[in-house]
Amino acid sequence: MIRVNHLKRDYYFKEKEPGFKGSLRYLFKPKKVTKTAVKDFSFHIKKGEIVGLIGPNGAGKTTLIKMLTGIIPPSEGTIDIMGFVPSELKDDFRKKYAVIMGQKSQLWWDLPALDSFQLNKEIYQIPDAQYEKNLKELVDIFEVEAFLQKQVRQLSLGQRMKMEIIASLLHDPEVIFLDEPTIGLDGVAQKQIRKFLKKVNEERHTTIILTSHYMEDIKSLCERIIVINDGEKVYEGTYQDLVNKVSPYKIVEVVFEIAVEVLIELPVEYMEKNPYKIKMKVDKSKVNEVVGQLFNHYAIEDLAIEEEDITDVVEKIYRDI
Amino acid sequence: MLLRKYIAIFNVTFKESLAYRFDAITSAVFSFAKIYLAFLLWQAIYDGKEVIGDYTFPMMMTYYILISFMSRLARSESIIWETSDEVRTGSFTKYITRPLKHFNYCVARSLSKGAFSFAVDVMAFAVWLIIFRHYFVIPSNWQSVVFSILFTILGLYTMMQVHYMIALISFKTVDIAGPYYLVSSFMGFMSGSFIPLMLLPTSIGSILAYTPFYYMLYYPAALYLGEGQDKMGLAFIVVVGWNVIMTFMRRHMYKKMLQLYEGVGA
Repeated sequence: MIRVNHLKRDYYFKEKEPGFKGSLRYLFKPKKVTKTAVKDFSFHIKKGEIVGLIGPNGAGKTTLIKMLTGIIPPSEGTIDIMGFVPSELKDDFRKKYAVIMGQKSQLWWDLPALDSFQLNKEIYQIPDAQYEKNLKELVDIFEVEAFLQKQVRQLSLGQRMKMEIIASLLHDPEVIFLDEPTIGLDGVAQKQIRKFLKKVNEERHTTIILTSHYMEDIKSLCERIIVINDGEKVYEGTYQDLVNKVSPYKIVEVVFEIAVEVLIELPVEYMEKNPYKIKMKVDKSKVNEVVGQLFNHYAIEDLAIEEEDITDVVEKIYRDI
Repeated sequence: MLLRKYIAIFNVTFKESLAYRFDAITSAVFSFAKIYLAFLLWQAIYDGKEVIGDYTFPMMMTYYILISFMSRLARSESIIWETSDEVRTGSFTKYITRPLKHFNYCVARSLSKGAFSFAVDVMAFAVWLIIFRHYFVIPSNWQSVVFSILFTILGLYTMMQVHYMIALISFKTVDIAGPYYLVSSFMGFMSGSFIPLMLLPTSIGSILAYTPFYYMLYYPAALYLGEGQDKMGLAFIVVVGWNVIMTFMRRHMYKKMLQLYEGVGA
């Protein structure tokens, strides 16, 4: 469905040095700089897949989404999406996808969101029955019926984002590109959006490409992730494989019934140790052995085994890969 | 079917204009106030004279009343500021990612704003007509009115194309104020917005008659006043010719300028 080969995108800009002298030089002889935002990037995505694009700020994720949606043309390489070349901006292509960028709005600020929805109905030539069905379904999922008649500028960020998603999906796109769809939203709104994306993927086999800084979005939605750093693809595979690769540990927390001093030798790295509780980093292959030894030697009141903190994993991904 | 999306844009823009109705009404009332300034100025200039150029004092006042009304209908200037702002903030993306033609979108929006202005201005215009009823010329034949309306529509479309091309410069320069003020002063003079073009030397008037600006405001107003009907064939060829050229130019410009768009801000 999506075939990207050897994609490259250069940006050209003029650099201004600080100070008055720098301003004068910028006026008469600006220093031209070329920055390669995406380098030799290739990947394929099958119909119905949910793929997450992750990487630190400025890694090239948004540039990639812009090229995939035809907003900017690539400097080199090819993109084929459902047989279309995005930068040709054919109407037939533009009717088949939707792009939701956290910072961009297609809603009319001074009018209720319903007016923007009706406008999109005409722009995408959505039949009446399909429009009514999709609108009802989306409004129910996001629980926004009470806000449909309210001016967009009077809505909260979360309500506006939900309206934005509704406006983008009324035409049943086959591919959805989401660039930071949950940025700035509260936990409830984030959950609703994730739930909806899962549903739309399962029921309609919609292909979804998602960038997010919230690893919870990526973890709960994406079957496959692509890590981009400094414009280059540094990893492609499942989330779990990536976590195993950069974080081969589990966090084991044990609460004892009475105060004890742990004297046995354990293959662990202690994070916290006091007479009533120990918290340690344990190699995943040794968790059973460690827990077994603790049960054999001490009276245990409570035990918790968790993955390493997701934020730490992300930091490692960007640092180590 | 394809037209329906642009009719929908027309309707939504009209609703949006309604949200700012107070601003529209006050600007309508005050924009016509310049007719009074023209009245004072030309009354002093005409002092004792029957005719200046080919115009009597009532014809001159009629000219200014018509120009003021036509200028209020020409809402395409907002294309420049809206496009420039959208390019600067990256929100121009919404035209690229949806099945829309940006120029048609701008035409639908300008027409809607013009229609809203017409609805609001007609009342203010009527008030000024009553005040200046002794100085307003009623044409002797209906053809003058019909041809004047037809050329007004052509003139407004020409103006829209020029404004659109200025707007496209913002892809290159981001800040559009400089080119805008340069072209709008030039266009204001050449289109007869400041003074009727028949007051200029004949040689300059003859040259201007081959430019698109001549037909934006001056020529439709002159037709209403019974002037220039003998040159209508040539006028039509010149206006349509310029519009064909400008259509090619703006399409080419759009393709080129879109290559420069970076969709910043995300």
